[in-house]
Amino acid sequence: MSSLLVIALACGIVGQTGTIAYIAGESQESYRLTLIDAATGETTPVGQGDRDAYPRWSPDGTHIAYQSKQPEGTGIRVACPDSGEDKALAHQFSWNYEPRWSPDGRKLAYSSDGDMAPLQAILVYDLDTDTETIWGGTHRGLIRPVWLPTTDLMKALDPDDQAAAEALGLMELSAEAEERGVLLAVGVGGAPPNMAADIYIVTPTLAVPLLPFLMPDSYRYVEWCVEPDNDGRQIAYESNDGGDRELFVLGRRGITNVSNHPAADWNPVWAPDNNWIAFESFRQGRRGIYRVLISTANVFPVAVDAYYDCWAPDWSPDGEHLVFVSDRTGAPQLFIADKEGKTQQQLTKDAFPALAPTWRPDTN
Amino acid sequence: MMHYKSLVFSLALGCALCQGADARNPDGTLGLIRTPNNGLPVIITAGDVFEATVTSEATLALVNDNGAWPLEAEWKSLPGGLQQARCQAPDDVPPGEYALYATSSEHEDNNRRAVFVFETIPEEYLIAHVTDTHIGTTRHPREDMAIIADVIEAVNTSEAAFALITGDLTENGAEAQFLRFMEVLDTCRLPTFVVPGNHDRMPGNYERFFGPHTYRFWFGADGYLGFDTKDFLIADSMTPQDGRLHYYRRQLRPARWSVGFTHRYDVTMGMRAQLILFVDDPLDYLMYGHYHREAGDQDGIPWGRTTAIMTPAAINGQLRFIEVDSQGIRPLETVTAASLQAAPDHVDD
Repeated sequence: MSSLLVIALACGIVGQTGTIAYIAGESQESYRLTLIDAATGETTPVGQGDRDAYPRWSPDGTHIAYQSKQPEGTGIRVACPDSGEDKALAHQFSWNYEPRWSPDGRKLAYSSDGDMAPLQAILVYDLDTDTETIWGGTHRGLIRPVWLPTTDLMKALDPDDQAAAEALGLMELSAEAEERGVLLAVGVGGAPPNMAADIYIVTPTLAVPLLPFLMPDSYRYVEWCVEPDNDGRQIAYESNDGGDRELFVLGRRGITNVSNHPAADWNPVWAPDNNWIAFESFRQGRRGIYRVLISTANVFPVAVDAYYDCWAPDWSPDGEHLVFVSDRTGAPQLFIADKEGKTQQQLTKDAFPALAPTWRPDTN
Repeated sequence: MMHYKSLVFSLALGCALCQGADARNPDGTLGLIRTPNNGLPVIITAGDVFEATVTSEATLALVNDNGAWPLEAEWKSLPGGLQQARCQAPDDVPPGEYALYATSSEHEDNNRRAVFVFETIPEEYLIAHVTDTHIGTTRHPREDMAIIADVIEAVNTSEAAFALITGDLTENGAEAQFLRFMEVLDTCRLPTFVVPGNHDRMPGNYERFFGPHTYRFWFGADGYLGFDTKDFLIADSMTPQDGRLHYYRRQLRPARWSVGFTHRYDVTMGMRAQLILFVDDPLDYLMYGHYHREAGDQDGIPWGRTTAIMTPAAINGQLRFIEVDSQGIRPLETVTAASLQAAPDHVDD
């Protein structure tokens, strides 16, 4: 692996272009949203530099939403790298985490301590009107929201029997989702010590658990990291169903375990073509990056080593490369690999950590 | 009996120590030897193998007042330019406390209280749990060092095998406070394993004085996992920590008892860390402090079968001993070991 790295550095054969947003800083207190040009390595600080975290590009690639410190707690900010604007959202509550853009780029969803802390709520911020709304009706304990790009997948959940669908509230859920958009989130529920986490479909007034429609015993497992594909026709998520943490895909063929290995598999990230998922796994000991072809569940290593970790992969817009974090040189730094892992290039070379990379969408 | 080569090395080592081979760097931060150290020691029996991490290959030895025992080492390069030595302790090294001595072509170093050689590792033993020492605080009329010295003395006069010191070692993480903390730490005659707390978070200082935030060690059949719960303002899933937690937790699977020790547990801590430690492969026990009080009904871990053990703050003069045997781990009543000359604080910090 290291010889490949040297070759890549010497010849520049990775040759990837584009802009990557990431978090850089010596310590948590100084973490700052930063941009790097993948071709030149030139960096530009963008964020406010006070515990910045979780950058996410808007679908049109013009803005970055990120989590940062606010006077009381953490807030969501939206930066426009081209204009230099960096705006804090006007929050109702002190603690707000991990923003995700709506498919049209006009709303942001995030977790918040909300009105019933420590049970978190899902909040949606309308950037056109600067208004913030709690979603999921009165349901609390919802975290890590992500937008479902379409309602196609929800149609597959509808029972044939209309009376049953009405009893389950699906008609109302579908109607509201069509009109106002829909989120997926993880709902933490149950009473200690038997807490569990399930995937929920969330609209402004409703929050309905997803998996019980398809898998009646799903309540026994703890789900996490739900991620719809780019068209909203498949959902990847993690579950400890099967004994260890595995990646599952819910799609038109039902639910499939696509990682299926005794070691833990984490953090699915869809490729732009929706055929592949990059993920983290411990199947060779340390945390490494792999990719899986969804149609066959064949897994291929991308960046793996016995003596260091690789994590936080994100795909290039053309799906040919992955940016990720590795501590192979000491402090965590950004690296780029082609999707097969044959060539790898160190992108940042700082004494302090570089974390959470996300590739700017190519809208040309 | 030391052979000729060892004797020559020992004489050279003795001369070096006489000439003032300083422990750590002149400012007290870790030097040539990163681990083991007085906050992350190794516990072995004679003939055991242990790992040391140094900044460059060096000649290594165990040293105490009774002599020096050279170590044979196998070397491996680690990320970040560090070198790992896989050392075998000599079969004839007597039980006791040792400094790890290292000399390379350019540097020498001498980490005190780094290696503890036990006659045997007991199956039944006692742990001292000390937390929230807050060196540097002026919250009580009595001086911080005097309070913590009394707590450490209670550890020294106990039958404990080792002490776990779970964070908020200092009041605000300043270098001077870490130096003062080490001054009182080194009065402890037992191995002391430390982890950082939210008060130790001044950039980089904890790492400079004690090294890694996340580590594991074995004591006989029992596995111990030390980690930093991080500042809850920050999502810790961005950093290497989650990967290391899983990696070490997996290594500790065969343990009779798996025991986590950290500064704080809070239901809002990073979800990934909670999945690793309490859901997918639950620890048997988690020991922590932070809250400066006894555990109440509102405390504990809601995820499964991990038993929480919470201990009040040492800066309030308190510590706890914990019994370990084949039946499990049992916290004993909190011990008040120091007078404060005032009422204890009751703050969640």
